[in-house]
Amino acid sequence: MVQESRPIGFPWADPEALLGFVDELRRAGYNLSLDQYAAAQDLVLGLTARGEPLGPAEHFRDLLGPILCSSPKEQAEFSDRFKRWVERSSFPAAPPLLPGGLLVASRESAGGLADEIKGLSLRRLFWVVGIGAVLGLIVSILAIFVLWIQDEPAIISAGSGWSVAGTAGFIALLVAMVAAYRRWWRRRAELFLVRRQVADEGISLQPLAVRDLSHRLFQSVSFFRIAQDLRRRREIPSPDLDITATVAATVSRGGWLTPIHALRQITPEYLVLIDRVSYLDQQARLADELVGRLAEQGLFFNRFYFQGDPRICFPREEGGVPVRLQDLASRYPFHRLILFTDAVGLFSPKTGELEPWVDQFTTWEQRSLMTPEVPEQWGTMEGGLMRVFSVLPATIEGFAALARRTQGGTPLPRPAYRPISPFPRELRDQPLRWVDRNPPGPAEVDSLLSSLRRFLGEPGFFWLASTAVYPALDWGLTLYLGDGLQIDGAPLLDTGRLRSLVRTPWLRHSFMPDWLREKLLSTLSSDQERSVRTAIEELLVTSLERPVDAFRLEIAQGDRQTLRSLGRQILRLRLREAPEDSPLRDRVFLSFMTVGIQDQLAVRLPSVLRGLFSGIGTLKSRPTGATWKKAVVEDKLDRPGNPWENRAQVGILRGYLKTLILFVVKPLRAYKLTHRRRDHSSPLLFVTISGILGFALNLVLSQIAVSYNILVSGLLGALVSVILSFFGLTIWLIALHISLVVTRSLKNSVAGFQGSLRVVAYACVSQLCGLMPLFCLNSLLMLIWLVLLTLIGVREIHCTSWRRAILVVFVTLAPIWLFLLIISYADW
Amino acid sequence: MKRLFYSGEGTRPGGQIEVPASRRTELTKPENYRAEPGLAAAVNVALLLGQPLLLTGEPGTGKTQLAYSLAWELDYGEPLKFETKSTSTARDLFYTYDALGRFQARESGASAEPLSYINFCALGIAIMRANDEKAVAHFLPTGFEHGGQRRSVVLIDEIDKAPRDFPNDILNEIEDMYFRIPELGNERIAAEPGMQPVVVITSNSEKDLPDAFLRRCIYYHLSFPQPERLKEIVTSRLGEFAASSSSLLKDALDLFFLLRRDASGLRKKPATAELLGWLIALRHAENGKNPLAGSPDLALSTLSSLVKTTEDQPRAEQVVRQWFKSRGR
Repeated sequence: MVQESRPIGFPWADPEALLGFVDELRRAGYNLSLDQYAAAQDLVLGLTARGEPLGPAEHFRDLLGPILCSSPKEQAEFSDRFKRWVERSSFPAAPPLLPGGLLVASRESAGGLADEIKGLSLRRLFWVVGIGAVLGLIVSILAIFVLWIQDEPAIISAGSGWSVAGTAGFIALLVAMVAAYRRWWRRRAELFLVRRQVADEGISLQPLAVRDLSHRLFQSVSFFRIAQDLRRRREIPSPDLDITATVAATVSRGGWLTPIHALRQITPEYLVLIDRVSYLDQQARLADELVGRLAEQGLFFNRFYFQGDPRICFPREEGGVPVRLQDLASRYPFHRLILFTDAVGLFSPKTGELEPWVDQFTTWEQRSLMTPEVPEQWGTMEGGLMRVFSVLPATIEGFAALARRTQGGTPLPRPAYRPISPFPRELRDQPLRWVDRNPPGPAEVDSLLSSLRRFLGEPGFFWLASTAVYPALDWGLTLYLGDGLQIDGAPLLDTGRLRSLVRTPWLRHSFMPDWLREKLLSTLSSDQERSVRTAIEELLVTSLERPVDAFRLEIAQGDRQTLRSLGRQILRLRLREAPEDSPLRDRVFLSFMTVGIQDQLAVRLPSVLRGLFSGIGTLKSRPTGATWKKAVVEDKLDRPGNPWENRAQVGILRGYLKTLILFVVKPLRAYKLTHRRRDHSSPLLFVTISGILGFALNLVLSQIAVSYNILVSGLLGALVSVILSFFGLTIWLIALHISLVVTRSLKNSVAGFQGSLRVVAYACVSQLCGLMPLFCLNSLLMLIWLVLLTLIGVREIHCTSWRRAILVVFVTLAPIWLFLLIISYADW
Repeated sequence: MKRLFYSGEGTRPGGQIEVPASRRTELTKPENYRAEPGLAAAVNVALLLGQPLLLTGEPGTGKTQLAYSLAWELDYGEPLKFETKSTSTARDLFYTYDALGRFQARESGASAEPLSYINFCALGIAIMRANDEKAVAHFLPTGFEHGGQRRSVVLIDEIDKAPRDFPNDILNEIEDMYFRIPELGNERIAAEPGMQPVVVITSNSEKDLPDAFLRRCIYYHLSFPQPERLKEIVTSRLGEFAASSSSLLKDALDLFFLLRRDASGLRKKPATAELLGWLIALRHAENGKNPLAGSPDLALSTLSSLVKTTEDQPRAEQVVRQWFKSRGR
């Protein structure tokens, strides 16, 4: 038997492994059928039978490639895929795929990841229970310790050292547990990434790998019928004689030879020219997908692209040679021409008439123009185009009309479209203005957003806003978000809605400026925000796996919290490796993903320029006009506000808690978000609520603790600090502001006294120290924390440098210290 | 400038001017063809599995030449070439039938035997030759030279020029190596299994070929060779002719790749065939010396063999002048 004498040692010598590799290629989109499976095995058998060596790997790769590849692109990447497969095959742990085919393998793979996520979820539960148990144990020990002290008052005096040691130990334990928890998740994420990279061809998250959902588009039954109509063969004259007709004609003409040529049927071919303003133009991509789906149904297309002016077209292949329109006419004279364009480039900008060269299109007998504009909005432009083309909407219905037309020239029935709002005039007239990095005036932006909301509808607008999270606009990501996000229980992904969405200049130019991203993100409700964040976190994890739809749903429903934890850690890990210009480092994206609220628009300036902006007051010469202009532009865009300032959208309780946590965990970012002007009631209200809540909590704790008579000193300190917060706020505020004025630190500030109020008000979260059983340390910690928060606040709200902020705080504290020193000296 | 052969000024230098024999035949000698390793592997797989070999790549990369080289190495004689046209049908690959001629012959009283109006084409000839002459004698028209049973290489050149139906229509015939002639009773004529022709198909990728067709072929894309590889090709094709002047070859390749760069703005980039032609032109112009070492005149006067469209000529001239300037020549 040939198989028995087969040399072993190469992965490709194992038929199952080889078929697994072919399977893999097929999933990657290679044009493979059973013939290739058989041919790959025949190759191994043929070589073996001839006594030819099966190795080395490069040799076998060169032999296998021509069997499995059918395009230059496939051939170019085959070498890499083969190499990775060979490397992977050397891992004994890698399970061979079953020869059952794609479905079995995919399910197994998806199931593996789902199980892994579930496993993590369970471990997470155990971890949380474990932490709770340890905390409970500590509290119990403390309680026993307190009771023991109460019973043995003699020890109290001797045990004061114990109190400090216990406090320090408590803090250390808490810190250790938090660190361990984070480390555990990081380790899980690292292992997760390592495993995925080994098993899944090293799919990168930069950019995010998104599965192709294009197949979800154009799935209606009518679509297949249209394809059938467009594929219907047509008759053309043949060089062959129609014998019967020739004989009949010859006889009828008295024997005079009258040749009649037969007709032959040919499959119609289509030449498609797609207007593409950028390489990642999603409107062009939609047209491409439509054509691609029809091609899958057996239609023949030759596709070319042009940028506004179709006289020069570019082939699909990257790096292909551009072709002139007249060359296309001579190369494909009998094709049916279809032009996908908004036709702006076909009209003269001076006269508004069709350009004379548009007549070149008359070379083709059948020519159609598919416009993204819906028939309800057609006007003079379409009227002009109708002189040269059959104008049709770039929709399935448009293709249906085209199919009817090719079936014998019946008049085009007007499709029954539902009327919609027109495409915003601002975008139509000056599309490039809205992709500019410099924002237009606030009123114009508001007006644009209103027009967009009307044009896209609420779901479409939500969809557009969700695309603003990730810095790179990508077709796959757009579809992914459309598929994953819902409004009123229905997914956003809809072909008609998508058609409207991709008309916007941002999706055409594949760029959305930060000012618009922030503006759009600010329109999201908290629920929408959460769903977008979840969708992207989910993507961070699942994009490492092979795309299987069922898998994604399972994860999303069952283990969302685990997925989020894993997704965050994966993001952090990826960030460590990401280069400076990686989209993952985008500030708006990071801010949205890590805080949940969009960050302000701020250009990261070089340190020299930063100094120029922040330390203007220290400069001997006056700042240049450009720096002022920049400062003014920056200032015009006031910050979006912290969660408390956005409590109308977020909710009062959630806004308060989020702000509290934000100022505790990330004070720098918290101050960056905080308004610098307007809405001065928010900080006052915040500090009032904080004071009342703090006081109430202290009171409750004191009542509990008083019976044990041990935490009194700490609680008293806290109580004093809370009470002081009301009286001290005013003194602290006045002292701080005077320091700002004295040190001339308000030159860059647009916030003024209101800003100082915000700094002081939000710094009151430092009073949280008072709620902890920190004994004698809480007052000291509270003071340090207060100083730090004030420092950060002064820098962020009043736009000063760190040095100046330190100076301001020092100047504020100096009189107080002096006063305390004098008192101490007097006591002494 | 020195007179080459013809001045166009109505003058004669006196005596017959000696014009050298064309060296272009050197270029097409199959023994001078050098296939890259990947291509050689693809050919071997096609031969091993008995499947047609489909070659794609930009014009001038040697797709057609491969068929000649293969036929020469296998000693199958000249390849049988089918030049695809936009009106080609599947039948044309095997034979053509002159119905009109037969009609006229019948009218004029001449022989109207259908066999006389059959003209076998590339694959038809190859299948006939793959059978014993006696077995297919009744299908052979007068004048058909069978030459004994043997295998052949069939070259279907530029299949992408044909209508879409063409590749699909020949799928089964190419796989099983048979055809039928309805005019002769529709009998199936198949190649003997051990004698099946080797089919090489080329495409310039002007049209996408059907998936089903692609799956039946062994595929190889010939990308444009890198400078080192191109140097090998030139040396191999032109032999001592090129080797005698390595500085010319180096300069010529340098300029050639400069013209091929996107930045040159040429719409139709010169390919290997153009380079070889240009090198021959240059070598003829200046005996023994490197013609690119002096002034740009000679390079410019022979540029038409390298850049063949009117539209590209001025751009190419500009590139050439800049190149000479950068070399201080």
